[in-house]
Amino acid sequence: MSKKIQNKVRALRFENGEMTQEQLASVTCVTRQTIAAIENNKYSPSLELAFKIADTFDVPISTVFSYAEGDDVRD
Amino acid sequence: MKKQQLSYYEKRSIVSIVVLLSVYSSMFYDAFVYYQLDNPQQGLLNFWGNQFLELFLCLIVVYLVALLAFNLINKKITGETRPKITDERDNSIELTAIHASFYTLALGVFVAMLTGMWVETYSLLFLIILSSFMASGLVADIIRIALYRKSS
Repeated sequence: MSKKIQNKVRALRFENGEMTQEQLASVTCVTRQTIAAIENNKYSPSLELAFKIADTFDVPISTVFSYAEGDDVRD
Repeated sequence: MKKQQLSYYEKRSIVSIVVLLSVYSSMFYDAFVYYQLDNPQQGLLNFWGNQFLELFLCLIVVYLVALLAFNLINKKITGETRPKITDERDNSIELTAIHASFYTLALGVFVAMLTGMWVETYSLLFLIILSSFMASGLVADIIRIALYRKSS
């Protein structure tokens, strides 16, 4: 199985006061569709956006994104 | 996984495809009528020069009107307005679409030049160039829709 960029954006949103995709999109200056695409592992964000997302949740980038084998890991 | 509804950009690309098909159909129809005439008043180069000028003007005007109408209708039906920001995903999709469109146009012009060299008829050369303009526009819109769908 090949390695893919996985993320915990959805889980972190819920841990942070059930933040909506729209709210996260607004803080990180992207569209809601982009956040949805990232959560579904359909789009890999740029480093800058990845840092912005991690910064929003106040966690290190490695907590949000990982490079691992397997299918969708969203929580 | 449940697919998202069509986004603003996908709907806009569909409108763009409709505009392209209608404008180019009218251009091809004009060419068809011209070639049906036994003794046309207009010379061949003059006709094609007019056609291309007309094409660019028509495309700009029709596209603007269609986009305006689309924005109004879309807002009325879905309440959705044009997204205020264009983010990195939009830019990356746009870049891929423009890339593909450019290569299609370049290929079309190359084929047209080869035709000009071998067949030595202006008509076929211009028809291929006109077709490659249409194909490049269609390819860009189709790729936009496909990439937005893929990542939705």
